[in-house]
Amino acid sequence: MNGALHKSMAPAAALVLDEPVLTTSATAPSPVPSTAHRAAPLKAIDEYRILSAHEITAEKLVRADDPYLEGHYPDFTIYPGVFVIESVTQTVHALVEQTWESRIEIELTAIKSVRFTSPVLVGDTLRIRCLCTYVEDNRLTVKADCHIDRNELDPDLDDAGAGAASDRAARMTLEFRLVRADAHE
Amino acid sequence: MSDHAHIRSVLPHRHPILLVDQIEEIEHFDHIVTVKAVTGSEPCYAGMAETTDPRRFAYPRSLMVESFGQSGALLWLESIRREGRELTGSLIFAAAKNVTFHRAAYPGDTLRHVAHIEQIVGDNAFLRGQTLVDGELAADYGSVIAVVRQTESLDGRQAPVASQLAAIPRQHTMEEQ
Amino acid sequence: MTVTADITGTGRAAHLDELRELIAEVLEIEPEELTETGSFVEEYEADSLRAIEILARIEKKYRVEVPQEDLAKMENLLAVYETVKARVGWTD
Repeated sequence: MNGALHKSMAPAAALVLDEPVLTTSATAPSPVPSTAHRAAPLKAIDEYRILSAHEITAEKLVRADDPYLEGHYPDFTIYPGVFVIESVTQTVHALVEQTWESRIEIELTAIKSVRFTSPVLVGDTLRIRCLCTYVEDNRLTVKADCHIDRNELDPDLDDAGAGAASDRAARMTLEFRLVRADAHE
Repeated sequence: MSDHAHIRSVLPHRHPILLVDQIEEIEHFDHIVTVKAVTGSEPCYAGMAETTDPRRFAYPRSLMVESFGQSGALLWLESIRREGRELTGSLIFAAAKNVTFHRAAYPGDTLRHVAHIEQIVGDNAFLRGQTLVDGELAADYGSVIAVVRQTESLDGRQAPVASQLAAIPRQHTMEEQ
Repeated sequence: MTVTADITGTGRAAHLDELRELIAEVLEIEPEELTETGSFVEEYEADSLRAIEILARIEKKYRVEVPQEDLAKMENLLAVYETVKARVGWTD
C-alpha cells in the first residue's frame, strides 16, 4: 500500500473544474468544525467569510492551550510562523471546499515567499485575507495578508512610522495543487 | 553530542514542538544533517475523523518546515556556542523564499534535513537546505531567515522587525528595562 | 561629499548601478524605481529585516564586513553607496 502512497496525491484523471457553485457572498462568518479530515497541527482558523470565488477572510484567536504552543516556548509563547502559514492554508481549503461541487482538496506545493513582520502572541486574533488566482493545470496561487488584533490597547502603537506597519503579522504567496478528494491510486 | 538531550540544551523548543530527534552530521557554521521520525502518536494526528484514505495522514507540511527550521537554528546556535557565545532572546522564523514540496511523509517515515548556513549577520541567520524521505527530495528550501530578537521588546509590543531602520534591536542584557 | 572632477566617471556610476540592482532585488522593486535619495523605509516599505538583507548582500558581494552601527545610516541608495565606498575603499 505504501508503494503507491509515498508520492504526493497524483490526480487519477484530468481534473475538470465546473462553474463555481458559490452564488452569494456570505455575510455572516462560517464557523470551522473541530474535527479535522486530514492531519493538521491544530485547528488554525476559527471562522471564515467567503467574499467571492476568489477571496476569503478568516480569523484565529490564539489560545494558550492550543496544540503545540506549550513548547514554543516554555517561558514566552509565540504562535509559530509555520502556524500562520497553516492558518492561511486552512483558509484556502475552506474556500476551495465551498466553491466546487465535486470534492476537491488542496495540496501545498510551494511557499514562494513569506515574511513575518510582527509576532503573534496568546490572546491575539490573527486576521487573514486571501486572494486566490486559478492557474491552468489545476493550480492555485494565493496572496495572503495577515494582521493582528491586539488583545489590549497599546498607547504606543501610534508612534510615528511604527503604527501603520506594526499590526501586520505576515504576508505570503503560496501555491497549491487541486486534487480530487476521492481519487485513490 | 548528537543525542536528544544535547539538542534540548541548545534549542529552546520543547515537547511537543521540538521536532529534531538527532544530529547525524555537523560542520559548524557550514551544514548540519538531522533526523526526525514521523509517528502516528503526534498531536497532529489527534481528533481526526475516521477515514480509510491513507493520504490524509500525510505529515503536515507546516510541521516539516518547522522541523527543518529548527535544524538550521540548531546548527547556528551550536556553532556560536562552540565559540563561547550565546544569543539572548527568542528564536523567530522571519522569512522564507522558494520553498517547494515534492513528496509527502507518513507515520513510519524519517525526515532527514540537510541545512546550510549561507550567511550570518548579527542576530540573523540565512539558511538553505532540503528535506529527504527515503533518499527522495520531499522539500527544498531556497532561503530561510531565522532571527533572534529580545523577548522584552516583544512584551512591549514592538515588532521584532520594526519599520524603522534605526530601531534595530541591539544585543543588550535583560536588566536594561 | 566631495565633488570630484570625475563625478560622472564610470567608477561611481557603475558602483551606484551595482548597488541599485542589489538593493532593488531585496526590496522587490525594479532597479529603475529606486531613486538615489528615496528613503527605503518611507518610499519602498522596507522594514528592518530588509535593511539586514541589504547588508548581508553587500557583505557577500564585496567581501567586506559592515558593522551593524552602519545600518542606521543606510537610509537610501546614496547613503548605502557612501557607506560601502568607505568600507571597501573605492576611490571613485
